[in-house]
Amino acid sequence: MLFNSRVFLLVFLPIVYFSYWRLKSRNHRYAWLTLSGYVFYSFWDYRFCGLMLFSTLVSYFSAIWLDRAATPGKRRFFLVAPIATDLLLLAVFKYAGFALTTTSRLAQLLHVPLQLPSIHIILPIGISFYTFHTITYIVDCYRGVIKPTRNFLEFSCYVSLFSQLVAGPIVRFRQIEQDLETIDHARRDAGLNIGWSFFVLGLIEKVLIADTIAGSINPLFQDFHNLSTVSAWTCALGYSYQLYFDFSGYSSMAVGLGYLFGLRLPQNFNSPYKAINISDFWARWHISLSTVLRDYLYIPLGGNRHGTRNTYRNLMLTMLLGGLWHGANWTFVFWGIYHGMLLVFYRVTQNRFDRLPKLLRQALTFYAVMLGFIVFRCTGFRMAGTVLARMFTPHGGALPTGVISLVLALLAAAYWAHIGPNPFEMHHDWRGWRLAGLVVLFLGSMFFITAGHQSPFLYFQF
Amino acid sequence: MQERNITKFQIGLIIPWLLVSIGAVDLGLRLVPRDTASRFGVDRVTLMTPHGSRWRGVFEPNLSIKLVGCGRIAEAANLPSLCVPQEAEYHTDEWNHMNEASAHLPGASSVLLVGDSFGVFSESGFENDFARLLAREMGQGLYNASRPGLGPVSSGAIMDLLDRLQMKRGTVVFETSDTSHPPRADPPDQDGARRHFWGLLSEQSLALPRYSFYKLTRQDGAFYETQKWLHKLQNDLILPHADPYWNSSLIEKLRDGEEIGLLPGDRTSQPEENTNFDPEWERYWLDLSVVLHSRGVQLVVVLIPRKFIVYGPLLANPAPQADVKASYWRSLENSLRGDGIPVVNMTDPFRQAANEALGHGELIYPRDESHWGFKAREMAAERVAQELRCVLSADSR
Repeated sequence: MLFNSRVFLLVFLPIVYFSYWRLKSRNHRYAWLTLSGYVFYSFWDYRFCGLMLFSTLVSYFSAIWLDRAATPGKRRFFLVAPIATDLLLLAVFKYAGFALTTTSRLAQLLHVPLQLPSIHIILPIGISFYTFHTITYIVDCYRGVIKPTRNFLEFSCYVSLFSQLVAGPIVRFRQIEQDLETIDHARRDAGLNIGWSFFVLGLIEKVLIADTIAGSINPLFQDFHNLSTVSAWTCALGYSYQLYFDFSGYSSMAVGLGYLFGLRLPQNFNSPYKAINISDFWARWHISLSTVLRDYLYIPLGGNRHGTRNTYRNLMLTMLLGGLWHGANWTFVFWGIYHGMLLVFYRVTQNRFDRLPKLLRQALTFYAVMLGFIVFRCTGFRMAGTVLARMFTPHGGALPTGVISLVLALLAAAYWAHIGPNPFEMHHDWRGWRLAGLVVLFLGSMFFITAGHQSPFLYFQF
Repeated sequence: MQERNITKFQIGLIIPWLLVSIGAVDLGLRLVPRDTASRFGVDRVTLMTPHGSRWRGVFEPNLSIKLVGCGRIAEAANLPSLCVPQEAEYHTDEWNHMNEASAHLPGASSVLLVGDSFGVFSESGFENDFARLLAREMGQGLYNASRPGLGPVSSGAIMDLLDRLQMKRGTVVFETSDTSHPPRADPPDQDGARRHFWGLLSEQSLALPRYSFYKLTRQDGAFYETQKWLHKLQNDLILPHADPYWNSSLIEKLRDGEEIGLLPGDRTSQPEENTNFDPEWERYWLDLSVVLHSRGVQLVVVLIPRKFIVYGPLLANPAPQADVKASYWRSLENSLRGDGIPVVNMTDPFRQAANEALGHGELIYPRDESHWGFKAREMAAERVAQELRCVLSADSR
C-alpha cells in the first residue's frame, strides 16, 4: 500500500485514524498501531509479516535479557545475538543472491571450476529499515542510552509503525520514546494542522514533482543507448531532483502521519541541495541514515580520533557500507566509495575549498552529487558509462517527451531544492491565497492518484 | 508539539473534508449501476499458465460478459477524446471461443474461421460479428475460432481444432491483417515465451504469472473518468505517454476535416519500404494448405487491410505509406493465387467503399478504434461467401 494511493487515503487512513482516537488507553493504542502496521505491511506480502514479528521478538527479549544480565560477557552476548540475527536476515534476503553471483563471476574470471546456484530471493520490503530500527534499539540499550521497554506492545508498535515502516526515516527508539510513553495523553487536534500540512507537502513533492519528472526521464533511461547529450543532462538533473523529492516527499508524509497520531518523527532531509560542501550534504541528506552510520559505525570504528589515515579509512568504510545498504549491486558499492572519496577529498582540500564563494561551493557540491546519482540510478556500469559519455560528448538522439510538465516540474524542483524552505522550515500556518494554492495542488495530486498516475517510492527497493 | 485551535478554514479540517468528499464521489460512482459507471480500460497483465496445462488463449471457457467500453475489443485508440462508449455482450463456449454453445457439436460446422479480425464485433453486437454475417450469407454452420489480437496460429493448433470439431471435410478461412511479422510457430505452448496481445481475461485464470499482455478490465468510475482527462494531457507535449497503450492511438484528420483514430506505427514506416512480402508468409500458408488438404479441408485466405491502409489516402495529409502497404497485400495475393490457394483480398474493395462512404460522411471502420466496422464486415462476408461457394462447387466437381 502506498501513501499516494486511494486505498490508503480513502480507506486505510480514515479507519486507522478515527479508530485510534476513539481508543483511550496506552496499550489499546499501541495494539491498534501495531495491528495497522501489520495490515499495512501485508498489502505487499503477508508472508513477510512473520519475519518482522520474528525480528521484533528477538530484539525485544534480547534487550530485556541484556538489561538483566549480570556479567559483561552475557551483556555482550545479548548485544551480538540479536544484531547477528538481524544482519543474517539482511544477508539472506538482500545479499545472498548478490554474493553468489559475484562469487561465480569471480570464479569464472579466475578459471576456477565452481558451480554455484543462482538464486533470486524476494526482498521483503522495508527490511533494511526495520532491521536498523531493532539494531539501533539493542545498541542503545547496551550503551545505556535507553532503558529497554517491558511493554511488548510499545516495542512492536515502534517497529511496525506504518508511517515509517517501509522507507524510514530510521527512527531511533530514544527519539520517539517520550511520545510513545505519553501516547494516551496525546490530543487529536494538537497535530492536526501541522500533520496534514506535512502530509500534503509530501504528497505534492512526490506526485506533482518527482513522478512528473520520472514520467519524462524514465523512458530515456530505459532507452539509454539512444540518449542525446541534452537528454543525458536532463536525466542527470531530473533524477537528482526526482530522488530527492520522492524520498523527501515520503519522509514528509511520514512525519505528517506521525503528527496525526501524536508522534513526532525526526527530520530526514534538510534541503540537501543547499549544502556548501559534501560533508554538509551528508548532514542534510537522509539524516536518519547518515546519523545511524555515524553513531553506530563511523564513531565505533574510531571516527576521526586516530589520525588522518585512519579517519580516511573510516570514512571510506562507512560510506562503502552505506552504499551497500542501498542495494545488492556493485553500482551502489561504487556510489558509496565515490562519496567516501568525495568526503576524503573535501577533508584534504577543506581550507582552500571553504574560501570559494558560497554559490560556487553549492554548485560544485550539487554537481558532484548529481554525477554520483547517475551511477546510483543505472542498473550497471555499462549503462552508467553510456549516460556519462553522452553527457560529456556531443551526441544526437532521443529527446524527452512531455516537455511542458518536465520544465515546470524541474523549475519548481530547482526553486524548492535550492532556494525555498523545506517543510521543517515552514510555519504551516496556511491562510488566504497560500492556503488556496496548497488546496489546489492537493487536488491536483489527488487527480493524478485517482487516474492511476502513481508510482512506488524509490526507497522502497532499498 | 505546538497546539493550535482548529477553525474551519485551516488545513487540518479542509484536507480531511476534501478526502471524505473524494471518497464519497468514488464510492458513489462504484454504487451506480454497472452499465453506466463501469468502464473497461486497459491494464498490463502477466499470465503464467498452470504447469502442464495447454494454454488456450485470451478467452475463458463458458464466459458470459456484458461490457460497456469504447471500441470494445479494439486494439487501440479506445479512450481518446473522440471515443463513443458502446455496449456489447458475448459469451464463450467451452473451448474459449465466441460461439453459440451448439457450434462445436460434431458435424455442426463445415467452415472454421481462424484469425484476428473475425473475432471483432465493433459497431454492433456479438450477433453481428463476421462469423454470424457469413453464416447468414452461407446458410450453413461455422465455427469461429478467431482470437482478437493474436496473429496466425500454427497448423498444429488448427488440426487440433478440426479434430475436436470432427470436421472431416470443409474449409478453413484464415484471416490476417498483420503485415509486420511472419507467422510464429505454435507460440502459446512454449514455456517462457512472452507475447503481447489484447483481449479479455477473467482474474481466475491468472493462476501464475508468465505471459505479459494487456487485458481489458473493468475500471471503477472515478478511475475511468479521471484517466480520460489525464489521457488528454498525455499528448507528449504536456505530459509524456505513460503507457505503451497510449502510444497506440494517433488522431489524424480526414479530408472532410473530421478526426479519425489510427495507429502511429503506420505513419512511421517509410514510403520506400520494400513492397515485397516476407516469404515466410507464403511458406506458412503453403505448408498449412498441404496439411489441410491431406485431410480433405480447403484453405481460403482472407486479407483484411488495416485501417490505415484503407484511410491513408483519405487523410487531409495523405499517407503514401498506405499505398505501399496496399501493394504488399496485392503482391501477397498474387503469389498465393499462383500457388493455387484461394484468396479474398479486401484491400481495394474497402478502399473504394471507404472513399464512397466518406462522400456521405460515413466510415466503414469505427472512428475511435482500429478494427473493421459493421459495413466492412458485411462487405467481406459477402465476398468470402462468394469465394467459398466457388471453392465448394470446384470441390464437388
